[in-house]
Amino acid sequence: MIRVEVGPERVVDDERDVATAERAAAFARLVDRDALDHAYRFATLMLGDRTEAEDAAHDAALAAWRHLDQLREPERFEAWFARILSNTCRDRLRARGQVRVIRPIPGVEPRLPAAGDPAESVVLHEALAGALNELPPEQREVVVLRFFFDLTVDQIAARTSVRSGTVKSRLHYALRSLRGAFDAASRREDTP
Amino acid sequence: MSDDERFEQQLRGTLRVLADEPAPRALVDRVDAIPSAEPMGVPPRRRWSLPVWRGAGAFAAAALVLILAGTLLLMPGGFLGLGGSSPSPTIPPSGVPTINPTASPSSAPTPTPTPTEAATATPAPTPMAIPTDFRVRSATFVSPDEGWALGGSACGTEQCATAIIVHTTDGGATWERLDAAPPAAVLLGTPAGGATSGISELRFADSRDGWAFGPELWVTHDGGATWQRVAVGGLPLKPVAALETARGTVHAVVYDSSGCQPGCFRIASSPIGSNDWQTDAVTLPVGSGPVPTVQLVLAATGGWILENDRVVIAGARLVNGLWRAWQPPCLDVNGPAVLAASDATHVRAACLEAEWGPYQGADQPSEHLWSSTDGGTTFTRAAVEMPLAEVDGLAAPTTTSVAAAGQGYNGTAVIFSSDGGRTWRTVLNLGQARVLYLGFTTPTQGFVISSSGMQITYDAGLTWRAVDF
Repeated sequence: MIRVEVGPERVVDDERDVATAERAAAFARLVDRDALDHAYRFATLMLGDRTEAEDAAHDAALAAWRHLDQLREPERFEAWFARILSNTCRDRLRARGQVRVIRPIPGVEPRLPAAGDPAESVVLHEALAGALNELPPEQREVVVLRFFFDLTVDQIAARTSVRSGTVKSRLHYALRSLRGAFDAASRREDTP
Repeated sequence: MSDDERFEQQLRGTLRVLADEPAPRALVDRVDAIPSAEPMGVPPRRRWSLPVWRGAGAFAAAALVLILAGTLLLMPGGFLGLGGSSPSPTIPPSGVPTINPTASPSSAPTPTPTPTEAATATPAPTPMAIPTDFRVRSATFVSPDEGWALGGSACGTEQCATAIIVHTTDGGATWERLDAAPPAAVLLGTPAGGATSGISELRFADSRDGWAFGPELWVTHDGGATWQRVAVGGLPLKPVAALETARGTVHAVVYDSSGCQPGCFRIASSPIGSNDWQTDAVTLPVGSGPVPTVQLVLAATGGWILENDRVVIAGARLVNGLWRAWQPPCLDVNGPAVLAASDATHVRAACLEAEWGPYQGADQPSEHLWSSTDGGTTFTRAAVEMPLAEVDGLAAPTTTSVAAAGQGYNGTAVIFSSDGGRTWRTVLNLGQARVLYLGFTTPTQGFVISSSGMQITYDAGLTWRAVDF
């Protein structure tokens, strides 16, 4: 092991410096790439509030930086950060005991998906957004990861540190709730 | 398309709509600033023995609910550039003067070390001492821990000759003086008639971008190491009456005495990282009173401007990133109003009713809280009277809690309501001090600045601590 003299009273291992630099470089990718976009969108969907999502993403980044010395594999920074972000969002949800609905900006029509009649889309969108709002955090997370980030069940399991069977179970119950709200809204639309 | 496919398509579409925005610039900047502001691998410090709001994070939004009452006196031939000229440095069209920190080797700023450089532990220069006669005038926080305060030394009754900016990274427990500050006088209260120069307020959007203003406008993009005097686009040297920043944009309200008669307030906005000010088409006409004041409140995606001139005169509202004319509350109560907001939909106004004429048959002035849950379209008046004779500062830490500061019937006080204004309790007595500012950085962390100094709370007003600079 090479030891480098950097001052009369301080000796620093250059291997440790290299590891520190690699970790710092991994953290820098959070800003340089679209990782922060992903983090912000994930937090928005989890928390239902863009301002709080911004804060959650920042808090997760700050926590990651403060504990960066615990990251053993810098190449796996993204997965490590994703878990921190997920925990940050869950902590916030637990702290307030509920999920907020993302408030539309007054006077601005949401950019809705083109699925048939636009009027119907609005109703269905609101029904699904409301039902999503009611899901427990764990179910909401798997829905977001599956249908927004297009992760497979196994990928979700790896990211959330649960078994694939648990992911499937959470998806099942979540989709049952969402489908119920969707079908109910569809029936209301069909009623003259 | 089957029902299952239609359902999945709708679900994916709904998720896309709900998360249709990329990370805002402010978030990118905040995360980008972390390595230079925080040591790697060091857990957060604990400060004092007071409870710390662990929800953290909401500081950015909560900080935006802080209200600013920029007061401008319209004295005949005096303030607001009514035919007068500014004694401040003239800004050349091609650029602006840059003020560098005191050029002494011992006070030169040290470049922020990169994480890999941090291990070399270069000794930091000793910061300049905060003078014992330092008087605080304004403060701003970008997180529960990091904030700045503007004040001065060598102060008279109305202003301090030397501006000083101090910085905290531990929530106000300790402060260090920045090497540089705008070379302007610090106005301790309402700018006096005839004044055309000086600064009175300070705001930071993040660790780098900050503004000292009122009526001059100075900006830093390097954390206060250097300051430039800038002009709002198209409105050179016009007095800046209010300024706030949110979501990557800084908004300012500027008094224009020449572009509209008999004068008006104009709104200008710029990305926080640049000085690219764009003036909005919306203007607020001044009233017939002698003292037009304007407040700018930002919360989440919402923004509101309210102008008083003895009574409520006009307003503007930020909708979808654009300012629009807005009918503010209390236009008919014959008195002024003070605004606050906790988010884009929950807006509060403390309205001094019947000050300049009767209201609803009453001719005895009284303060009442008016509340909106639809972003300021409609307001509901609280029947109970606020226990203050005149509200000077209002803050809405959450959708249900409200804090107000001002002249009470037994002296100056801060009062707090946790039930939307139905009941109030006095949480701080300030003797005969005059309130300059009240704001909350988080639901529990807030501060009040008065002529007697700065007091800070970490428990939603339950206890207060005098800030020792």
